[in-house]
Amino acid sequence: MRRWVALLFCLFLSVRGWALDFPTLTGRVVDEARILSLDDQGMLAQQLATVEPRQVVAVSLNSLRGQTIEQYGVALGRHWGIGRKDINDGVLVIIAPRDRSLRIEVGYGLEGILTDALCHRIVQRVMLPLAREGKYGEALKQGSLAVVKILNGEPLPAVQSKSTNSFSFSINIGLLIFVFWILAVIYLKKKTAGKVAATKSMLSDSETEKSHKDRKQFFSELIGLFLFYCIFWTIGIFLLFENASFGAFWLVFTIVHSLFFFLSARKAYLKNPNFPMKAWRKSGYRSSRSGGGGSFGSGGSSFGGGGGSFGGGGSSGHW
Amino acid sequence: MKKLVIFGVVLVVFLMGFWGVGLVNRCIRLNENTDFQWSEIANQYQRRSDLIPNLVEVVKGYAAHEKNTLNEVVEARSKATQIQVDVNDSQSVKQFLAAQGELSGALGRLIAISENYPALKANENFLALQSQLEGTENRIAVARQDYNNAVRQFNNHIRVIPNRWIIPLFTDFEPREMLSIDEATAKVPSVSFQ
Repeated sequence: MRRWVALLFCLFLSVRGWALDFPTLTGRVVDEARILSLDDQGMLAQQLATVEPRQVVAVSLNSLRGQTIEQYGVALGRHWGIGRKDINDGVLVIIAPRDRSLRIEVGYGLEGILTDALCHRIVQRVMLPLAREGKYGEALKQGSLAVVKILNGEPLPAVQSKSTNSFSFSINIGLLIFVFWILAVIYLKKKTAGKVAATKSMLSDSETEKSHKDRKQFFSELIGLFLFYCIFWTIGIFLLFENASFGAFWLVFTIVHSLFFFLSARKAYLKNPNFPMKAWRKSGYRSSRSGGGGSFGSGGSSFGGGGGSFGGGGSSGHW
Repeated sequence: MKKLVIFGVVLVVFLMGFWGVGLVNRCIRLNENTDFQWSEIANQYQRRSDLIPNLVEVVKGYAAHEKNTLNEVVEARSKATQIQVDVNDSQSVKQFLAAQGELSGALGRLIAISENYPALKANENFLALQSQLEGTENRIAVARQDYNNAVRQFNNHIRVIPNRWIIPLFTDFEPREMLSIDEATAKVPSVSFQ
């Protein structure tokens, strides 16, 4: 066991060591090299905010981590996820005084507006002269402002509708859950109606009839639970298509869980046929609402709402 | 109890089926992604080819007697654009990359001789073209790296242990070749802006 933990730890370390290290994205101005005054930072951040929803970030770096500024710029932009997802309209203005290099890194979506030639002009005419004089902060500031000026002079790129893969995927899951929920409600409505009829007709309360009624209810609850677990299983199946190993883990986990649950229910039932009515309600597996229909319905609806949460993981800009 | 066992066996078979489908689907996705990344490389090389006629025109205006170098560039470009490239045919990919590498070399020499002509170097048009060329070379480098990453992911996926037994049952994907770094980066025209 200990050996495994050590191995895992080593793996973790090696992965950490292998990846490039990036400064944290603390705002629109990331001044790692400390070349801007606080006033300048505030002013610059305010100016950079005017190009929203496009994202421009001004960065000063202590070092390029052994890479060229072209390599590091791309990696940094991707790591931070600057720009809107699928529109890719982010810009990084980077200066690394110790490596004596600076760069304007433009996302795919803005290459038509901030062309290479334009960026080249900004770098050559605005930034480099200042940088050569040692005014690194000023170079970063003026370069960023020039980028902002160009961006504000142009119309926004058209916003595409956000019908990404993961979105429709989550809709599918939500729909499935909804269908299961409806099925369960219909089923339980029928069940409770049957129960009412049964209690009415069986006012002569003999032992066999009572156990018969209990058995009916027990199986109705089992089927309800089965439907409930179906929700998790379908989620697992969908996850399998998206991500094989996680989906398999999910499915195996839920199936083992449900098997244990059903087996324990069966055992308890064999021991005591009256078990479902009395014990389950006390054991806390069910909510305190009376009747199978109510409690299952509440479980279903509170989960059904959770289907929407898959759609949340969209845009990757972080502020 | 017997029923339960049968149920369990059916369930496991069912699950394994889904798991297999997931594996193969991921394999197909990764393969598509690799193709996409390749198209990005071809795209950027195309973009570079499109820049060259203008560049040659501008240089001609200032350094017409550098015929050799100019012709070299034009020839290398026409050779490179003639090659029909198919990602799944490693021979044609090699040819394509070799031709593009030649073009990179010729372009490097063209940029180098332009250093000798101050009037050319001051030309606004030339500067713009040069910066676009530089940007495109950088994009090519990024696209190649992305392609190699995609290939690495794909190869990993079809080579790791359970997958290498399961995937061949459904598809006939072969591991793909990565692009070697040398022929591209070694010959990138070094453009200096002083």
